[in-house]
Amino acid sequence: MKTRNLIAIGAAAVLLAACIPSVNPFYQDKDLVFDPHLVGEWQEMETTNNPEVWTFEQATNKGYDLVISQRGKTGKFSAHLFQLKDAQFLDLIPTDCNYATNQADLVAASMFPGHLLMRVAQIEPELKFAFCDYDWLGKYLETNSVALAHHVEAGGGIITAGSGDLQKFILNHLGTNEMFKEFVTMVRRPKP
Amino acid sequence: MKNIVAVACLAVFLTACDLSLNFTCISSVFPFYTDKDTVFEPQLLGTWQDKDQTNDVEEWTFEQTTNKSYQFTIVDDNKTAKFDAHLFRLGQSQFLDLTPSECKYDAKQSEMVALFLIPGHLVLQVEQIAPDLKMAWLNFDWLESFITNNPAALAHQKESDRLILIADTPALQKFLVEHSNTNELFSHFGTLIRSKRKPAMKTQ
Repeated sequence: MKTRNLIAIGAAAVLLAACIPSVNPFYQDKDLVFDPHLVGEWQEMETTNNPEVWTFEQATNKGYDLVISQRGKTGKFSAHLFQLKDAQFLDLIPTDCNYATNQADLVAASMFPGHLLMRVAQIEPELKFAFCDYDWLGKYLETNSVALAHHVEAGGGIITAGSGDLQKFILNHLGTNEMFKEFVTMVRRPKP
Repeated sequence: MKNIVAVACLAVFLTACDLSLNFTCISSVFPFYTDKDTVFEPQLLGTWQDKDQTNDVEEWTFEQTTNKSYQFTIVDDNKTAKFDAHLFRLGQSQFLDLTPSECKYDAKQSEMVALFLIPGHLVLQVEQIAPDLKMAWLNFDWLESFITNNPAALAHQKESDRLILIADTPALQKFLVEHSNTNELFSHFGTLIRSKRKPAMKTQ
């Protein structure tokens, strides 16, 4: 299946071209932090014409509601900021999914959402983050198949490791400059 | 989000499903079959419809893709979807594993959402293929209740109250074998007959 090979519009999303979602969250409740500075509207720094806009609102359980919008298209996510040692991360999972109206609903019954991981290098004054480099991760798991529990099918890979193992893996690779390489900068959206 | 549209002949499935991300359908990360379990039954090929339904007939079409797999197409009220289907046998019982082979999203939805979505596996027990096709979906209500009371019975994850099976294929099969004949895991069989609208396709 090719659904996860889409090249999404937007500087951040393009890095997700071959993403590998996780069934389990990357955080545990004890790791969660809430930073009010993340709340608000952010847009790509380099794009002035129809930039992608990320809007964070405070939700419950130290979480955020995130809406990503660009060119009339929107996506809704649940976001959790968490800390492992000195590093901060965001765990994202969609809260809403709408399918094509001419598609039988049995497809929607089969699909389920996974978690994706971002490293947050800075929140103020500009938001700097990097998605996990899934190209690197896919290659790493090909040659180190027991490093992190996962499952591969024609449609791509899925990480099945528990949150504890996920965090151990993240910490093991944090200093290698491989897992998080390409950082994106977003700035506060100017008020109209 | 989505409303439920019928797979009318298998009504129990419908009552169990609310097709939002919070729906109670239970899909599996891992397939329910391994290559050695798959069987190819030519009599499954063709187009089937609900035995008792005459209006707005939903059609299930099975076509051969490889020597051990099918492409399954569901057409209902001008809605279609395609799945990879594998018929497999565990002991004396036959099952069908379905997983979407394509997924289309609302054009107004950010492409980012699709990147997070994972195609899971659904399973049916196939009681009979000819002359009529008799199958049952997993009884999701029973399974959820069973797993809630016996959390170690099958590896799973709850995401926004939705259960996802993360057990590997051997564990899934062990569970199927243990529970498929209890009339609990598969309890509501529906009957499909050859489509009356058009001749069966590609039967061999």
